Amino acid sequence: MFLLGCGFEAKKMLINKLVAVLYIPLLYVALCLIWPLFFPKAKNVLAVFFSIFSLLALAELWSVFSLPFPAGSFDTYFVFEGVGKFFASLVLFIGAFIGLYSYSYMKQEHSLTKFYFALGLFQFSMLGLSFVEHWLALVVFWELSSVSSFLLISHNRESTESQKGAFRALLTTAFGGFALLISALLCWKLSGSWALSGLADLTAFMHAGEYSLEISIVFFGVFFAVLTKSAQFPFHFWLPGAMAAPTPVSAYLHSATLVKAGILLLFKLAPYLSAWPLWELFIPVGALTYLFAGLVALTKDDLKGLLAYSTIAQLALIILCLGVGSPVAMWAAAFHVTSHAIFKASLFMMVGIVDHGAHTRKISILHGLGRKSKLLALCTAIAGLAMAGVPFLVGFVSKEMLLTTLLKSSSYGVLLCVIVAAGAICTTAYVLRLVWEIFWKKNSKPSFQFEQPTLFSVLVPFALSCFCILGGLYPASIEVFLANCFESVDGVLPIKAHVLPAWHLEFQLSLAALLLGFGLYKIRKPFEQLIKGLSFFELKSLFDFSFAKMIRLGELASNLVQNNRSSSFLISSVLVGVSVFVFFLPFDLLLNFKFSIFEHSELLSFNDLFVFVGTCILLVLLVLTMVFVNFERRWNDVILLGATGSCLVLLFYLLGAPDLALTQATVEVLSLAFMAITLLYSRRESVDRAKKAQAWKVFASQSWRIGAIAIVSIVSFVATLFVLLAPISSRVAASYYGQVTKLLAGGRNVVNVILVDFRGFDTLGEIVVFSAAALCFAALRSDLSFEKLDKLALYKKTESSWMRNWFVVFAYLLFVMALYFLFRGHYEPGGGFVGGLLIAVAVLLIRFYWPQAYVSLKPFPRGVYWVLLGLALAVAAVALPVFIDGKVFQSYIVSGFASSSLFDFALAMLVAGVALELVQAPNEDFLYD
Amino acid sequence: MIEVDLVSFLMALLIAILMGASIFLCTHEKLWKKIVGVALLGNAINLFIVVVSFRPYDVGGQEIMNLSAFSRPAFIQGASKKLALSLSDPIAQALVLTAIVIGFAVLCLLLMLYLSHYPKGEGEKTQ
Repeated sequence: MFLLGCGFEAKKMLINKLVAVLYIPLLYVALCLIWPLFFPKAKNVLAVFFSIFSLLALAELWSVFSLPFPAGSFDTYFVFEGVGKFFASLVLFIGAFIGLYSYSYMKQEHSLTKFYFALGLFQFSMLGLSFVEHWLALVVFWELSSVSSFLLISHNRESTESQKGAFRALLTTAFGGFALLISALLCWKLSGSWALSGLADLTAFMHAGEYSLEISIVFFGVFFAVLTKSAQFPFHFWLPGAMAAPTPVSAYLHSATLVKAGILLLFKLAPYLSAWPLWELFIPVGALTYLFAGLVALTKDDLKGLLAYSTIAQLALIILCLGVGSPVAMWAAAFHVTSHAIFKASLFMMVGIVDHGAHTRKISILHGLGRKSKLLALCTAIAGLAMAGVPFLVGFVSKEMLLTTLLKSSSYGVLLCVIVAAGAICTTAYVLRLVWEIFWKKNSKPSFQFEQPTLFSVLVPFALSCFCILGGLYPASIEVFLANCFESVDGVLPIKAHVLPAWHLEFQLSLAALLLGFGLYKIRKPFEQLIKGLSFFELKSLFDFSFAKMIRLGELASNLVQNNRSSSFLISSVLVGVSVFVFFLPFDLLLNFKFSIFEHSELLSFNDLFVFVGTCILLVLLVLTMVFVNFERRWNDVILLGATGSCLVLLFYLLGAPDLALTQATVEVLSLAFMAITLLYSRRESVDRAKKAQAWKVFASQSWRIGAIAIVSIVSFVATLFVLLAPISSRVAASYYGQVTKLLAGGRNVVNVILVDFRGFDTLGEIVVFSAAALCFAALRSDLSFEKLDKLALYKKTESSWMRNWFVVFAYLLFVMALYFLFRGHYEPGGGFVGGLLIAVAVLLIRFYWPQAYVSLKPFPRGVYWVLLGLALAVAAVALPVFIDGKVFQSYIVSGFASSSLFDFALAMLVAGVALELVQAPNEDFLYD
Repeated sequence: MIEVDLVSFLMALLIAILMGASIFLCTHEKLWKKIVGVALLGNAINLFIVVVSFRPYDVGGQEIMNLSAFSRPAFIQGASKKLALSLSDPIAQALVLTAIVIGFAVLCLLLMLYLSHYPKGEGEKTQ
């Protein structure tokens, strides 16, 4: 209904505005690359920019969402959704604080450009994840967040601990991404749509009792992805390892972003999946992890390790609540997500400040910090007690909501509440360790140095702590935010937050948990050994073991096929080729063997057949000569290769490919020339005389070589015969192009039109490869010195010859011809490639027969610049239509002239540039002698 | 019952020989021969693609280029109009065209490698 009410254009515009929000972190990433070029001393200012850009994006996001917009999605990668707005707001809001905090924290650190670059990229991936509505885009952003967080965690390059931790995080979360990809593909296969809403079709299938296996695979893919990303048991082991990251990163990743991505996915999919019976699996997983992580956190000596396990526990609590699946549960979970983001970010920042001040994070050493920095102690106390769920702080409000929700959820709601309360006991106990032991407790621990933190660095976590109080005293403030985000879910608030609830079971449970937590803190010592035994369940060692085995397996495999012996290279590539061939062999065709005769043979006139068969025989003879005659002189190979190329020109022409014939002909000329140059400046490889005499014996002894030749020959023989004799299928694509060439692209030469217009994107990719090869060539060349060798150059002999004049005239004629072929490419055989290659031939002639004139060409840019210019022109040619009607690779016919001819010019420029680079091959300094 | 006509058989044999020869050269112990072999391998594969794509297809009466020499009106003797339009598949041609150019770039790169590996010493005679 909404879709009808709103014009398509208006919706497109709004989606574009939403995407503009995503561009802001990308702009920041670009800034990270540019800023250090101008201000290498002030790299850390990028942190402030991170805050500013986050706030900008936040403002832009809210202004976009304030526009009237229909709910739901329509055929795009992104969607306007309250969930997305909620998570994106959190990511950007916490991001603003993180930026300010890292400005003070990262002052002394190295490679800051890389750090902020990765931070911006990470924020981009999280924003993309928030708004994505397309399975594949979801997987891409999911993996992007894994990769960019890997870069952030592994920031400290010297520490093996941080490298290991980063690898664990990357591999675990990336495997989750693979699982998600499986779900995506299956869901697409079943529902026929890439949209996340395709899951609704699966629900319908499930009710009809179809595809039950596939549907459960889809669910377990999502389940696995959530468990790995949100660090739930048994995949929680990567999160403590990720604590090796710089503290701003830990604060960001583990409060509002990376680990919340799994929860975000649950929020996104809950409308479709929460009706599935399997969904309730999240409840036991959450409950188990909550208790487990809470207990382990009690024993951690490292402050960051303690916070890591508390993060796992809080996430588990949220997942437990989401497992209930009702809108009320989602509301309560969203509330807890918000409060957790606030207090956890603040706590992590505090730990970072303590770490910087005292150079240690061990609870067994730290003590009495409260007297040294009162503000720091105050802010830790507020955030910590909020986590423990002390009344009048935000954690209490959200925990009450969770308990109320769970109590009402189902028949075993009381049981769930008791589990949550048991976890809360642990929470209180470890918060007491965190707050009491290191800030106030007086004891006889050895003294340590503590450098006073700057006021600015403490103010940032303090500001966040203030939000804890605000949320606790006025929960309506968070409610307004949530209602603003989730208004599409329901008009009225599903559950009301209270500063202090009535004297119900949930309130009693909370208070009991606080008191019992205090008790547990007092008597925990005897249990510590017991709890440490729980680390038996850590899969870390199993992961490390299998990781090492995987690397070993990779080594074995590469030793098998990539061991620097040409025999194994050849065998493996032949095997792969043959298996691909066998795999694609249409066996059904083989079974119904009905060959048709090669229809064209009856078309051949006697003349054609004579030329055709004659050329084939000549080709065979040439090739056999190359194989069986072991020439001393390399020139013979050059000449024979050139001759085979010329045969190919003729065959291409006869087989109806005049463009190919032209290209092959020019390429043959050029390769002949470059092979000649190579021979001029290189020496022969020395070969053992005795070995040479027995060349055939050596060959016969290399049985793998004979085998490879036999296999390749037989396979190509069979393949060719098979394709040629198979029944002719209809050539839909070819016929289509043949029919629409004139109409759509204004040309008659189908081949060239396909190259520059229909399949312009492919060609663009190919010329990039081409230019890359040329650039490699140029780079290699600069390593060589030809100065002395060039005295031998060919041109000296012909310098005063009358022939020179003729060659130069010929070269100019070639230029004209090149332009002719270039311009007619759309209609007759020719085009950009042929034109460029002909220019290259002309340049080559001038280079060798009239070096003086060549020197006068010096003011022209070097070949490399022509290559880059050609690439830029090609990109401009395909991107130009964006500014006209917004479609890349669009082409126009303006008074008979097709705009895609521009692409042809770009090709010619590029190919000529490459050739220019090639003919400069011998160092040309001698020209100035 | 398999019936094989002369041209198909000849083409298959030609390509088999070309491929076998290029594998022979690629596995030669001399770097120079290897380079020649790679160049030949590119040619062989290009030829293979063009040969197997030499099939008739329907162009819907459009006036287009790239007609085979075999199917130009002058060469056709009493063949039907439909067969007169038999051509190499233009998509395959477009692909092979770029393959030729890229193969050329690769050849140049290999030659440069060869050159940097076996540079001629001072005073050595031109071969």
